[in-house]
Amino acid sequence: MNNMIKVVDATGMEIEVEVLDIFRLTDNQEKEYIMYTQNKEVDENNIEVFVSILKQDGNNFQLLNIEDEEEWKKVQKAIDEMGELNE
Amino acid sequence: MNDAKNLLNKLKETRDYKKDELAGMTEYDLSSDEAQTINNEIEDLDEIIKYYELLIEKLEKIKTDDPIKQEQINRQFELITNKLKSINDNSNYDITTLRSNDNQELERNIDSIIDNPEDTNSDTIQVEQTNANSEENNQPSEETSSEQVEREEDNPVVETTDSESTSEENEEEEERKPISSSEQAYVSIIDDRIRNVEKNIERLKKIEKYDLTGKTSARRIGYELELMELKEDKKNFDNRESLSAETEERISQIDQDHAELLERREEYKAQIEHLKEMKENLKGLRNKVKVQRDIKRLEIRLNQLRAGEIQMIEGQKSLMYPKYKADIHRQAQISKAEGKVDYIEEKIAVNDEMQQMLDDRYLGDRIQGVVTGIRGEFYQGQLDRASEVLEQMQQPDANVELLGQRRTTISQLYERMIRDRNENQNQETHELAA
Repeated sequence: MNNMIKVVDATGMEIEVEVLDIFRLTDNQEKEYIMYTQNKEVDENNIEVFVSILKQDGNNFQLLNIEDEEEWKKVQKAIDEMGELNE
Repeated sequence: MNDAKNLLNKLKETRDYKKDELAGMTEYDLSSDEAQTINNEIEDLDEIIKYYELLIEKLEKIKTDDPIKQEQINRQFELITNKLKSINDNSNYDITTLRSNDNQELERNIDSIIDNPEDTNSDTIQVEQTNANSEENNQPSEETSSEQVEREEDNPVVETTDSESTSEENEEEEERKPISSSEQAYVSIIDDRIRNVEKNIERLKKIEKYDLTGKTSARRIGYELELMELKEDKKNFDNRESLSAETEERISQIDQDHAELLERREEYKAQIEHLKEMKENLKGLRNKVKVQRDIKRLEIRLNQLRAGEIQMIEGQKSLMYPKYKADIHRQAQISKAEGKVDYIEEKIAVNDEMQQMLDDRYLGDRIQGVVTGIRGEFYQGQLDRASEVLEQMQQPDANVELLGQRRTTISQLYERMIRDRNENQNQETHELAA
């Protein structure tokens, strides 16, 4: 488990998550997204993952919510595409 | 004589140098235009060397105590030396000059020295000797004419008989040889053609293995057949047709025109040299430009004369040997036909390619392949960046705040693949670091 990082949530609680990917969208190279999981299975075929906008300022990182629905759709599409490429 | 031999040796050195240059080329370079040019120059040099060696050998074989004849021989050596000097100085290895009027005259003079008996000084030698004297010493022509008349008066009967018998012999020889040095010219034409065909065969042999269509092989076989035919022609050249009086007249007219053309060419060359010298001595830029313009104009005329000369030589060849003309025509026809075949084949290939590209499945696969390739490249490019950021996030002093997130699901298969990919990536990073 080399991809584990510790994050602090809004309540100040430290959680350990596994980073699956850090990526950008093809049509928007400015923003970086982070996909991570706590390894919770939804059913026997799927697992739950989370995606946030990643902002970096030196050693400080912020994981922000994706507010815009259009943007969220694009992110989901990118995740699907990466899945196709990996399969 | 030694000068001529030295110059001939210099030509041989040039030829050997070019051979070395060619030997140092790679297989790839050998197919270049440059290699082709060097090869042609070597062949032309061989021809020139062979030609002048023959003339020198002929002159060396003449043994004489007659001072006039000796003078005549020296004169021919001098002419050969001048010719070789001009070839060496100008690096002009054009073998067509071997068939120029000057050279034909040179050959005739040497032949006449060999043919004429030593004890009788024929008119030809006497006349040429007096001409040589007049050229060298600038003596008045009346003096030489009077000497000739005196000689004729001293021995009128013998002279007449000699001249008649000589003219009869010449007539007989003319029947056998309609044009001076025609045999040599004919053999030279056939040799040129044979050499070209052999060169083409060699070239085609080299590229034949790369041509899967078999077209190159067909062309090579065509050339081989032509080579057989040419060799047969060369063997049977004694049975050639004699020329009609009209053709002979036209050929001699071309000879005259050619002589005039050569004179004009020499004049232009001299004028150009003069203008170039003048230009060097001029000071103003404007004046230099004016002179340069004149030089350019003369050079254009010179080129036109060169083109005219080639046409004359070709025309003369065609008249002398109708077969040569037919051969050239046939070659042109073959090239044209080959060109058409090439064009059609190329068109078919393009059509096939287009058809294949327009095929729906092929097009779909192709587009899909391109898109996947671009996307793959894009995501692959991000992996390095992801590893770098992740490493920074894992540092002990890193501070990661979770302020918001969106939830989604992915298949476990996909998740496993991502994990595998990440592991590979980590492994590669460690290996690189190690």
